[in-house]
Amino acid sequence: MAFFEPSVPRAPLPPPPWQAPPVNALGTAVPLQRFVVRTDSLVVALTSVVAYASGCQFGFRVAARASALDRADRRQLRAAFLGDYSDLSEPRPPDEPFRCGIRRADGSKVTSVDDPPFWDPTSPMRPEGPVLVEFSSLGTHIEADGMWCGPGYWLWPLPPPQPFALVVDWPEAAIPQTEVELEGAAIVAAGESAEPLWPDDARRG
Amino acid sequence: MSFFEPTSPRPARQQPPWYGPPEDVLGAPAPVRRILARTDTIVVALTDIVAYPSGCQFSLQLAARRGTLSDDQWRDLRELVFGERWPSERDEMLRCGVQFADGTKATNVDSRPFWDTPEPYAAAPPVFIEAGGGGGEAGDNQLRSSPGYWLWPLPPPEPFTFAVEWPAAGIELTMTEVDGAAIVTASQAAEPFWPAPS
Repeated sequence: MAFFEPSVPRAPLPPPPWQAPPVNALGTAVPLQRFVVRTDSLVVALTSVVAYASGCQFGFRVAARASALDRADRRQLRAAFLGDYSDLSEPRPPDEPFRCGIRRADGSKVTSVDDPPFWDPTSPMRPEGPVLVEFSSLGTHIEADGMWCGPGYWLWPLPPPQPFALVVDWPEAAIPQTEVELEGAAIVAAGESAEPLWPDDARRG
Repeated sequence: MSFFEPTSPRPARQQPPWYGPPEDVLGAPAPVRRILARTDTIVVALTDIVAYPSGCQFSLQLAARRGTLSDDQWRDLRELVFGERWPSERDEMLRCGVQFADGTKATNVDSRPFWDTPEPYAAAPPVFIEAGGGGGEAGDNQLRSSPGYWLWPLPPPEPFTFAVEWPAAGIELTMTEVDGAAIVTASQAAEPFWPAPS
């Protein structure tokens, strides 16, 4: 007689709504692209905002231009982009990622470095929200004339239909805290127009 | 006499404009979200078009759901959606492309990506090639992949046809009309990252 029971395949749970976009929905791109930081040598651009009924996705491009940097700055940026601290004569600094956050009109805030909410799938409890987590980032590219990376985030739930502040910083890469105002109403309207991929699928979009 | 010549600075190699979206320009979207084709297992959707002065990028989303597929069928579908195909199986890939009002067309079947071109290679416009796609996710029951396609140069400012066909996935030729004028207008809002050299 077998000691270990044969495993029974379990239907996987879809990710909770605060972790990722819904699986059965096609999001709507919102034309909110803009520069958040723009100097001679560094750019942080918000390149895409995609809205769903349950939240929205932000895509950034962070780019540095080598020709506008001196050797020390290039080295520091390279270390920040790669998370590489191979210079043993320097004490290794803590890994500080590119950070993103939202501040709503009522002053409440959420950032990408907050502790993620604990999720017990057997409990109906949900985090209060909002939640902002890294999602769908593009990796780091080091090229002859510069480097870039593409951090991405998922915000749950949708922001209120009012202006809110999108805040970024990256001390490691000498990017100071900078914010831009985005129109929540445009994102909410786009989220309402997201459509299901398969209308016959019961999972909500 | 020195054996090694002093190095002279070499100009940075310029990416040819047909090769993909420029890396140092913030493109402007011409929002067009549309489901192009749907079967019981696969959806092909156009999520947006981002315009640049030199061309435009079509972002597609391919989604697949497992339903009642067997392990083998699901593995096949996964390879298909993520483009994991040998060169001899190229006819199984997603085909897409554009046709303008004057009959000119460009597709990912007749345009070759840069790594598959002889040197030197001067592409004849228009070119439509896979470039600049996003990532994908594979779950036990659902797959998503976000391929990107680059059209060089910009389309004429008039309606044109976007075509997809994917026989291996059971998707017949499907034509969708896209507004070229909206893309050309959006391209004027694109902005270079860096100031022009003075």
